[in-house]
Amino acid sequence: MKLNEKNMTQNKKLILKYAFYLFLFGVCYFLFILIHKLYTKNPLGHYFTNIYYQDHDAAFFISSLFKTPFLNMYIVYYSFIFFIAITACILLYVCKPLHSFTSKNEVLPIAVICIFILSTILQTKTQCQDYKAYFYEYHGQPLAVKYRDLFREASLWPELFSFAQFCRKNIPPNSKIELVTDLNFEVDPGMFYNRALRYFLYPIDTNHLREGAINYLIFFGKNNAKNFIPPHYTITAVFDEDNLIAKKE
Amino acid sequence: MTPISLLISLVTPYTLGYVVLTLLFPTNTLKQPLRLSLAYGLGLGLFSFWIFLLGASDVPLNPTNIGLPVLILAVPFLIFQLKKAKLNPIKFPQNPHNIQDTTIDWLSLLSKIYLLWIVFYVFLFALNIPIVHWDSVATIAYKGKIFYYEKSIRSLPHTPHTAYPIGIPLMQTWIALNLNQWHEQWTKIIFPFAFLSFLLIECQFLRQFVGRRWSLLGCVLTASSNLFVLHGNIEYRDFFMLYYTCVTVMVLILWQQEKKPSYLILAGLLAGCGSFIKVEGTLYAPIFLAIVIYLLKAQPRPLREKSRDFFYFLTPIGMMVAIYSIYRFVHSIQFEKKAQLELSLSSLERVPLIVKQIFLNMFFSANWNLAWLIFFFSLLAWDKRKRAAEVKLTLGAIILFWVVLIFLGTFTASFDYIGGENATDGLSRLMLHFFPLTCLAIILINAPEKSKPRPSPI
Repeated sequence: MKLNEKNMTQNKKLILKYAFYLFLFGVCYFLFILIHKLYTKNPLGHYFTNIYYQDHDAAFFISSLFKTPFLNMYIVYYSFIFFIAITACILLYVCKPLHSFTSKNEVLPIAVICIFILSTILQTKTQCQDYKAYFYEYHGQPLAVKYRDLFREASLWPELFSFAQFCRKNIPPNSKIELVTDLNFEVDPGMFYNRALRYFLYPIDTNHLREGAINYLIFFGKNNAKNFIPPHYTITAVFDEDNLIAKKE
Repeated sequence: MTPISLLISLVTPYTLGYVVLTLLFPTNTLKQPLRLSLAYGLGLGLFSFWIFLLGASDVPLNPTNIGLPVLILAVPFLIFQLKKAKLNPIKFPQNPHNIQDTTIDWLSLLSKIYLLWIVFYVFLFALNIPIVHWDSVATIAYKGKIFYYEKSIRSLPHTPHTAYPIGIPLMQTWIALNLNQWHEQWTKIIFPFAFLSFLLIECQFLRQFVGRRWSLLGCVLTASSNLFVLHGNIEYRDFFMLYYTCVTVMVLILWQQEKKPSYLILAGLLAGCGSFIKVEGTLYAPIFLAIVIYLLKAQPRPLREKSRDFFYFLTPIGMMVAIYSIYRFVHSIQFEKKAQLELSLSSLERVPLIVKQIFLNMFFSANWNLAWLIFFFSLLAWDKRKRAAEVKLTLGAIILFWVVLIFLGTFTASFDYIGGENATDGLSRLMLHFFPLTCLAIILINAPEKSKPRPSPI
């Protein structure tokens, strides 16, 4: 009987402790939003979604919500931890009965855990949004559609993969080709286009891995490509006016 | 046909891994769940090295040439093992006193749900989004595609970033060879399985030291990192690098506990597999060697035994590094400029810049959730008597990784990617290689001592 009573008292203390920190957390959260709202004109929704992620490469293709030009969420987190810890310490100092279920030593770890849980929940929320966006839209779609979308999202030429497929259809495999372009392949996005085309086109060799003479020219991102066809070459397939294939006669 | 081909392409390396583990641990020294989780990474690493050996010997790369010798050796062994297992059934760890605990542990349940969601998310993305990322189309998948179409690795000296180890491209080539096509999505299947395997290993490893709830929390901490999840579903080499690096450290910790030489051979094999994934894998080898030497030094045993144990570790990793280095030498494959040493005192000016970037990355990037903050708070509260050896080893490894990272940034042209303008991506990926060790340290420091089994009511 005594053991049961002891257990109940312990459980009660535990619940009180969690309630105390939950209350503190809630107060600090809304205080922070209120203070921050005085200085910025961002809608309230931003505090739950957009400000979560720093603009960082880790975001690539995971979520558009990563772009946060105005605030790093981690500053918000650390401010919360600071607020919660300070408020709890003051309350513990002023209000003696609170000592029966929590102590000053527990303030900081619990504040950190609260923020960790919040952060993980927000992250999961973004992952659910990604799931909705990518899985429902992409499931069962042909590769060309997926690539078009992914490239568009990364502000690249959406037809890159379709063009590579077009080339593979019109050039026999194991051919050796040369790319003719107006793009600068030394810097992005030209550098990425060069690498991606090289990858998508293989086994058509753009990297001179095999010996032998060049037998095709691929005009890629070349303004009015038709005007630049060298002698002894004829156009065999046209994707659009800047992108076409020419074969050596 | 695709599901069967995929299954074959995954089961063959897995079988190899399982057989090697069974040879190393014929008795039940290595717990069965840990053995089953480890077999994937070990098997895939050794299998890719096997493909490399075939390719370097000019044997045409096709499923028969690659897979058949492995299966011929492995299947009779497995049949023998199965017969043995029928006589002595394998025991999975279970409640020693058969006490039925009917209370629901909500924290464990929530952790399991979260981990299941993350694994589902990683699988979904890995198998739904085609190969698209920069390094992948530029080198990793590109090399894999070349090996697949050429059925050899002869073109390697003419490919971009020639000196990069080819473990991942060969793994992808193997999948494509089984599928009989270069598939932009299915060739990524090795990544989510590595993610799952790593989480299982981490959980099983922690279970050796802490209770179920804390081991699950350790996995939640790791899986709540954005970069960890991202690399579980994209086709970069960093996740496998993380896998081999962290699992090597875990196995060394287990060796320190159990003192069985098999653990050292296993650690050596894993470190060797790591050296075949990225150049950094070879750079991390001195860290593992330093840990082994430190541990051997602390053991009161004859020098002869210690030297023997040292060679148990050194031989697998040394052989794998040496074989690939000889291949590179024979084919005149040079390291790129960014990987070459630039020893000068003026380079030391880079150190503060690197430290600043590391600090920003740990605390203000979206990569790690709050893991680094919790890690530093945990250090403040560390009771040095609790699990002292394991925590010290983990912390030692983390410090050594920092040293290597700062050294790399200071004395090589990689500075641009570690402390310079491109630091966001390069530095994050380097930090990812040992990030899970911080989560292990957090759990080992904070978890209460494992409770002793309750006495039997009978």
